[in-house]
Amino acid sequence: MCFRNVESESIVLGLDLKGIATSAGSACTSGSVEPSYVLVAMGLPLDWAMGSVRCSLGRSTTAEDIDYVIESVVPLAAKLRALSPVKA
Amino acid sequence: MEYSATLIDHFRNPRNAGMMREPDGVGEGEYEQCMDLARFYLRVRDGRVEEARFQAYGCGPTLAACSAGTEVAAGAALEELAEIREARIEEAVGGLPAERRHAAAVVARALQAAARDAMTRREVH
Repeated sequence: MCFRNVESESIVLGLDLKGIATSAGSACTSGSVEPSYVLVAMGLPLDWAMGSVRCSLGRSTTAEDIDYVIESVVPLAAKLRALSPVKA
Repeated sequence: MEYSATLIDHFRNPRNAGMMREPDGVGEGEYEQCMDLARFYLRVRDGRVEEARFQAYGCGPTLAACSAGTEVAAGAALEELAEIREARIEEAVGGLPAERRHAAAVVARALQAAARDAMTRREVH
C-alpha cells in the first residue's frame, strides 16, 4: 500500500498500536532513508514511494483481518495527512 | 522499536496540530536524509509564546516530538526559544531511541527558526 505525502514509518507505528504488524518500504535509520527500490524502479514517484507499507498475508489471514486493516488504515492515513504541511 | 509512553501518547493524541492564521512567527526544520519536515506557528504576547501550533511530515517520533514541542514552547520567552536544545525536546517525549534522535533535532531547529522569525518581525514593527 502507498500513501502519498504520508511517511510510511508513521503508518507502521499507527497500525502497530492497533495490533497490526506491517513494515515500511523505507528504513529511516542512522540518517539514511531508502524507499523501496522495487517501487522506485517501477517508476513510482518519491512522494508515493516514501509512504509505502508492506503487509504480508498467510493461510491463516481471514477476510475479517483484511477488513480490520482497511478500517484502521484509512482514518489513520487521513489523520496523518491532515497533520502534514506537504499537500498533494 | 521501543518508544516511551509519553511519545506514544503524543503520537496518538497530537496537541496543537494544524496551521494558525496570522501567526507572529513561523519556522521550519528539516532532516533531509529522511525528508522529515516540521513547521511551527507562534502567537506571541509581551515577548512570550502564548500559543504554538505545528504541521509535520515524518515518522511517528517526529510527529510526537512536534506535539510535545508546542507544549515546551508555550509560555517560553522568544530569546529562550531561539536557543532551545534538542535535549529539551527529547526530554519532553520521554526519551528517543538513538536512531530516532533526528526527531528532536528537527523540532528544535523549527522552534528556533519560528522564534527568530517572531523576533525579526517584532523589530520591524
